[in-house]
Amino acid sequence: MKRIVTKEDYIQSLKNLHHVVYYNGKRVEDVTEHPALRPHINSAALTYELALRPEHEELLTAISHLTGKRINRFTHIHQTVDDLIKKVQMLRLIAHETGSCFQRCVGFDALNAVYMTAYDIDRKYKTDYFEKFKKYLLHVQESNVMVVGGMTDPKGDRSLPPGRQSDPDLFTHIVERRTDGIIIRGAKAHMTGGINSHEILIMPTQAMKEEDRDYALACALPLNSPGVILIFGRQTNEERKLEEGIDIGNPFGVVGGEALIIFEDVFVPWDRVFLCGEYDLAGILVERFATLHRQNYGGCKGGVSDVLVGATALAADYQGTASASHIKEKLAEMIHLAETIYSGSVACSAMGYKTPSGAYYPDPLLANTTKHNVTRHIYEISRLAHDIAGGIMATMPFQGDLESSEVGRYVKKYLAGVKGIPVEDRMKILRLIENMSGGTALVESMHGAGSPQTQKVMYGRLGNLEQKKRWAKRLVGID
Amino acid sequence: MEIRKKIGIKYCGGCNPTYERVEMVEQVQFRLEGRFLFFRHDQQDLDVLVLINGCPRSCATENLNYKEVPYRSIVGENDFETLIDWLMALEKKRKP
Repeated sequence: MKRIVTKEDYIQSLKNLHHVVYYNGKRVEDVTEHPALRPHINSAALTYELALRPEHEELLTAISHLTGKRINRFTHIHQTVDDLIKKVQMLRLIAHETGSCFQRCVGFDALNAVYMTAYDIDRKYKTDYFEKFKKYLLHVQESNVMVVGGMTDPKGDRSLPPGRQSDPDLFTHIVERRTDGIIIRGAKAHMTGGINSHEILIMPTQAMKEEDRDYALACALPLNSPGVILIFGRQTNEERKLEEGIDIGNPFGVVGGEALIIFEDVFVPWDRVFLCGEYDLAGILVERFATLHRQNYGGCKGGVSDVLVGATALAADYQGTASASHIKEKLAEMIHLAETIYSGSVACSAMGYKTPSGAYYPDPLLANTTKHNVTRHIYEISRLAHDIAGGIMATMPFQGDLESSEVGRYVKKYLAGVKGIPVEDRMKILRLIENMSGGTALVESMHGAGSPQTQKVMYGRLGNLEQKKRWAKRLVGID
Repeated sequence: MEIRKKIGIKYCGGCNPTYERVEMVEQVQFRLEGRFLFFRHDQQDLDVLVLINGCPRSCATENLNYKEVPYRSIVGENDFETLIDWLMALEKKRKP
């Protein structure tokens, strides 16, 4: 595959992919031409475009430990604590440009998690996954493809393990082992950037037991492989993307554009299989991916929140409330919350450490804490944005009304704010706030990278409650 | 024939800059038009290096391998005039 360098290369590569994508029941022949998919594609394209700009290359690129060449950071394996911190800084800066998800971190985290774990599996079982994975990684770094990290299975009845589901395909699994590779079946849900990625790196969705050996699976495959079907997920205000102009809110869409990816007896050659039945290492792979992904959220959501704070401050400027003390106090609170989540991402990165594979890994307890704060703080930041923006952000007329020869003059008259501010500008900012602070955008901050309870489970495992009890007892003299 | 000095520009990554770094460089180029030539920081034979940082953390200053070249680190908008003065003085001082 020709190396993808520019935004144009990326878009052309998607045109060439010819993968099977469905949108609202209809097959999409060219995802790059579909108005509902294009915002997400343009957002991901910035991960290529910004890497070429001198003012961002320090964060958007890195030096490959495999080749010594400069590569896109989204294909890099963290070699130092500084790499971990730069990842978070990079996410914040891209979010300033998009005000939305740019999707490529999921594959980035999958690459790092599988790299670390393939090494550990080999040490335990004398397998050759690590060398195979390094070859795959080299392909990703050289071609600069976008990889979607595929972890979440549909899971069916959550009270039952994979092998006891009424439908065995509710967890992705191996259905046949052949001399040249394996056949897999199942699905991965909520796949961020799925429709505009080139490949998927599949991982197990949870820790596995011996009876679930066939579900302990990690492998990579192109999304245009026979038997792969992608169904795009409908979002809040989905049809706004079919329009152009003010009412779309944000030209880069809402969150990442998620898809249900189905594997209907898909062949994967052995050189792309990195975990196959070693069920006892599925759990650590899941934990590592989750930690690496939860590390991100103060970076990207911190950056998105910066944009939302700015938009909210502008709304106050435009309607003449900016000097009110309670508005200032609320804006200060929004900044406090945004910087709090960012500080968590920086902290878990700064406290990161080297794994046996040589790759660096963020502090898992701090990374989980960061993501847990995101599940709460983004809602509060959005609530404050709604409070300051006022009800008009939810009841405002269409752009068509603004431009109407019949009622346009009324819209301009009655939506006017501070003298000299065009009504159109006020409407743009209010639509941006609406886009960024409701519906799918909020749900993503709750469940992306794992629901709040998954972080609480990690607190139980990593929080070291017994040591905390010892400190308390020692302080007051209890033996 | 007058030979213009070569300025190399090195940016930090720009995670959360407090000002528009690229706009500042454009203003520097505008103010010094005809006096200097502007290049990337990794070009050969630079006369001066200007490090454009988005904040006082000064990430562009890290891992600097240009010790033989005079350089100036910028961390905010307030550094603009001092940078211009420094470059002008440098130009006068080095003029053959």
